[in-house]
Amino acid sequence: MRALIANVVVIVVGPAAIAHAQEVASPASPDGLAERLEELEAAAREVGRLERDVARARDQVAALSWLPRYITAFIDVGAFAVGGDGSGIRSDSLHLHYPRYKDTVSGQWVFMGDPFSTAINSFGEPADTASSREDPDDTINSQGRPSLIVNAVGLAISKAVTDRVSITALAELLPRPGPDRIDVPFAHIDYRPSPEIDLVISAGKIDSVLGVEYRTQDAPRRLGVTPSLICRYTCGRPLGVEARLAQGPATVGLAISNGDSFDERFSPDDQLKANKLPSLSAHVQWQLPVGRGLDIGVSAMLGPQDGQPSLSVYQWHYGFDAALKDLDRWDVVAEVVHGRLQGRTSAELAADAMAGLERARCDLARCLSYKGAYVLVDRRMTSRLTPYVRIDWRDAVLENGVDFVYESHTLRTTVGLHLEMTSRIVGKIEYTWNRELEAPPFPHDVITSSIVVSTD
Amino acid sequence: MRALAIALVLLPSVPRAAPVGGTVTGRLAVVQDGKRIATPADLPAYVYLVELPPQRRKAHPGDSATARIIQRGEQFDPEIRVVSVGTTVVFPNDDFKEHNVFSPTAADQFDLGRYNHGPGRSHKFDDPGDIDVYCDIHKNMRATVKVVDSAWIAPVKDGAFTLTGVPPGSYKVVGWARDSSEAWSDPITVLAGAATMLADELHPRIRKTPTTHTRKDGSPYPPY
Repeated sequence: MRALIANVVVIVVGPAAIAHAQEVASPASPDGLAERLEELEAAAREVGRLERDVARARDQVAALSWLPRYITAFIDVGAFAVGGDGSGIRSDSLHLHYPRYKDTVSGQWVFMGDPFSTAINSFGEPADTASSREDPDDTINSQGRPSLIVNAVGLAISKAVTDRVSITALAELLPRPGPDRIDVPFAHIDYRPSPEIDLVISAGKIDSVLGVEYRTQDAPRRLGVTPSLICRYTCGRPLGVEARLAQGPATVGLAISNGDSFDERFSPDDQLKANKLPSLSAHVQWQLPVGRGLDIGVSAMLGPQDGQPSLSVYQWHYGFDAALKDLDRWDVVAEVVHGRLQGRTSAELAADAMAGLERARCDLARCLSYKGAYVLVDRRMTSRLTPYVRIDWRDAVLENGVDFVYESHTLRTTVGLHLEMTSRIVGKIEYTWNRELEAPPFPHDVITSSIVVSTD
Repeated sequence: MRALAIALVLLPSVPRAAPVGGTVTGRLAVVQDGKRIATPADLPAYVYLVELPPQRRKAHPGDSATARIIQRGEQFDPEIRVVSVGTTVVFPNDDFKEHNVFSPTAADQFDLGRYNHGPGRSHKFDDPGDIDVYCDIHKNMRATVKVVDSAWIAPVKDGAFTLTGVPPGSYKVVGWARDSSEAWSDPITVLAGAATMLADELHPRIRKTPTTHTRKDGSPYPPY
């Protein structure tokens, strides 16, 4: 009953009471309104001032935030130990294993093995080059002693200049036992003709388009520590222009470059070319819906042979690649390559050879015939730990007149661990068994490691 | 004055019904190249309400809200999220590999940096707009967070939508789908406990948007 009475009172009295309250609360006079208006205008001015302060603060933050966004720095520190004298080659001094060079090349310059098989870092630098003539620049010069090394101090810059144009470069300082080195692995200008098409045209010191290993060759991106035996043919970064187009499952890369995509150590002084025609290279890739994608690709390169002036001496390369990404956390990458540098022999030596005399070949331009392949398998055991296995093989003969011959028939097995301690600190360690398929066994297995610490 | 005093004394003892919100229903169809198309599952659409007149509040409608966009299989899941201003969106990483969530959209640029598998990092969306979200490592990862100054948001299912618990008042209904412009309704009045049916179907129009984007530093992704 009390509630009923209270409700009746509210219904009858309530509206009058509320109306009265509104009267009390409403502005009483024009003066009051003017005063209120002034207060509001003052508040509006204050809001405007605060908005300007916020805008200034945002500008200042933006001005300071460019550094980590466009510049990435990293340091790659490693330790290694290599069997024997640290080199991957031995001389056939007595012509016991390759007697066919007995009358043409001095035994000490007939090399068995692979000079890069004792690579200890992402550049593929061998622990020691010994008496190698193809790669005389002994940058590590370990002579078989284990050592700690700062592989690289890297500084990568990448920044958009306009909506369509950007620049990308990587500079690396390589502290070495001898003179320290500065390397600029790549530096290019990128142009996107349209945001509607996934097409990028790059000019400068560009990436290779051959195969797939070049895509992850730098230390912060490489799964393992060292490159495969065939990276020397596909990971070089020539001067040139390239276009890359992705359309649905297809990806196409085309490049016109000063020279081939070989490792620059093979012709360090030849960046500006010894002949007048460029090299052409291409890669076509198709993605199949397996795992996170199974990329199947084919690539080829053709051009005048590098390191010599004649346009009629050519070199060619072709290869096949496959990359299976994330099939139940398994990744598999495989490549096969085949190529040839035609080389050139002087008329005198050629005539002698025609007359049945034993003479050296390829004295005017070196001859190289190579085949190679690798398979790299890894599995992410956890988000941090990824073990991997790589098997690679290279079969090559390099002749250079009477100067030297390399008979390389090498099979390697590498097992390793990739440990991502944080997103910025990655540790890797791997062991490589080196086996020569035609030469007598000699100690040159490699254990090497690397810690790469990078900014975001 | 006496009457006012009596009313104030008695009001708390009056039993009151809980406030009942209204319901807004309607239909939406996306229009592409002038043709009305259904809203397929891969083109999610949403509606939200805008109060009339717009209300100024000290707090954002989503200030205490959180939402999740999971990075899984090199994709964002879901790829579309409509949230109230002030909502904090968490980006967990379900993959066993690194991702880097960032947005280049001028209205709300942010960069969560690289991180691997785990609960992820978050960002509070304080400004309205269509915020594009990408991964700096995987170019096919793309999401859009639409941030709206509204507390009433509903998905469109089979071309129909229902917004419930809407406080009585005047509103406009806004329809939106990925890569579309917004479609605004005429003003509607919502009454307590009543259902309001939108007279006209909403037709957000698909816009031509860039099919590619750049990395956070503005450089192109490698096309592999």
